[in-house]
Amino acid sequence: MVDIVKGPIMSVLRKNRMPMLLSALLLTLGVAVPVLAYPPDPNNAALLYYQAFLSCPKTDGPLDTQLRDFTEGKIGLNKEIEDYVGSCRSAIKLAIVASELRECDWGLRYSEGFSMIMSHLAQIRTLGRILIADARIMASRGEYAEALARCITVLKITRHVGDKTLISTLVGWALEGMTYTCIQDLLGKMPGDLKVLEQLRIDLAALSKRPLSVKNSLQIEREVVIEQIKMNKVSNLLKDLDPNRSPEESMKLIMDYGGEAFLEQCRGHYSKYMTSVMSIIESDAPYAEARRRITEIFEQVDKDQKNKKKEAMFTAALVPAIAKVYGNRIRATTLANTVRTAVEVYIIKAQTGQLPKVLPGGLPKDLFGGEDFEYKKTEEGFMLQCRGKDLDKDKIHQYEFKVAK
Amino acid sequence: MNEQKDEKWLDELISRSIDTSEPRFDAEQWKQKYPGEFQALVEREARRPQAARFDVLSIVMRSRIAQVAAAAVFIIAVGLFIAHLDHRGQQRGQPEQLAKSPAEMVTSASLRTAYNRGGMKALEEQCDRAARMLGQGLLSMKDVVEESNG
Repeated sequence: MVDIVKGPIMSVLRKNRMPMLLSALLLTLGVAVPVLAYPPDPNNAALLYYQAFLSCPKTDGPLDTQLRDFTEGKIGLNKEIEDYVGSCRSAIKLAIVASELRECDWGLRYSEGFSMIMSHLAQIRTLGRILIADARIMASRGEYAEALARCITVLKITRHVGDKTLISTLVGWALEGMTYTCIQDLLGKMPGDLKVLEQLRIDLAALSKRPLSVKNSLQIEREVVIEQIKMNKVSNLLKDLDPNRSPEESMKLIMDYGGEAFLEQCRGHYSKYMTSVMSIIESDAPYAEARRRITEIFEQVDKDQKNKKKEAMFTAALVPAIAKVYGNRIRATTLANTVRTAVEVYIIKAQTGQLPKVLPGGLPKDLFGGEDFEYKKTEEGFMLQCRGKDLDKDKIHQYEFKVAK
Repeated sequence: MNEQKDEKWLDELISRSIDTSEPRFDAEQWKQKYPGEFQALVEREARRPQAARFDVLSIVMRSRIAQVAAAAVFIIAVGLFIAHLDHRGQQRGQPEQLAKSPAEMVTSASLRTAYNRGGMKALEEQCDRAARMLGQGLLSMKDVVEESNG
């Protein structure tokens, strides 16, 4: 057995003590210096988005309208729009970096209930528009891969806009809709580039695995409301629901009805209905069936109010919005599914040089009808049509896709 | 509606309690009621010497400096009057929505109200209106450095 103290390793160490010490010192400095140089970049995307909001130059009225119309594909590109989007370069860069981060905490004060300020929802739409305008500008130069990548950035941002509140989920869906419309336009103009289309297919599939969760937002909504229907906060909630009534009047009303005991009844009533609505929304029930059940619940709340069940007052004020949200969810998901289905058609066209005669199997469905989309070739390309009716809008949605000649 | 009804009811109650009719001065009745006072008033006016009357217009017409000063006062008065009118016009012309601050427009309650009222379209419009009102300004590190270097 070799004695470590007297062995060959220790002998080498003893002979080269100074060089070894210097090496150790340099190694330590080498590791430590970059860490001490500057703090790390934020890992909270919201901080970068807020910086992006501040970095966008303010638009005047006419430019604002032009930007909106250009984003929606209603007008062509002009120098004013191009210059403005060019002046937002820093904001665009920040948004791209932010969209890749996992965490996004907007710092909202949920304890404020419905008085909570959500200014980011207004500004994220402007930022989204700037990014979509940038995508359209790139497409006008023939840079379709970059343009579609910019659209994917906006879709990633919608995931950050969030599903923590009902309103943020709705704003997220609206921004998604704007983006899918842009993708639809770009697909109709771009030449059939298989590589670009396959990348788009991958990106859209990845995003579809983490959709905005209405379940999450409803759960938080329920918690927030239940917390607000308490003696110490209820006057704020009533002020938000009925701004014409003074807090003193509201409290007198609550006390006349029985104070905390009455509020407990209200919480129970609201919670019961919210749970029912949530279970329907989360279920896999077909659209028409789910909508019928939600309408029944809404009618029951209405009946409770007509029967002067005072504890229904909060439920009656808050549940109708929830009922509408279901329709918005189906519409948003169906639009996303339409674009994913269309991408498959464009891929076939890029592979074979021709549009398919029928849709291939296993594609995302029309959620209004619960079936595959109806596919029709048109003079300019093809059309995807829902098989079920949107009962809120009383129409069957059709989506036209052009094919570049 | 109820508030309006309440106001009407309140107005009627006040009218019944106090005389809210506009006060009017009847000169003829006053002359008949107080003949002595009327005579004294007429005589005092007649006693005032004609020469002592302060004829502002004739002074202004004779003096060049006074003419310039009067013109300046007139121009300033007209300017102030127009500015006052303009300010009032602006106040009247402000759309109702401006009464709401952008922060109030983007509370959860306000956005929900918009959604309840007009669905997604109304919600989006409210967001856009608030975004236009919210302050935005480009400020980069480069700007800060350039500004601090004078």
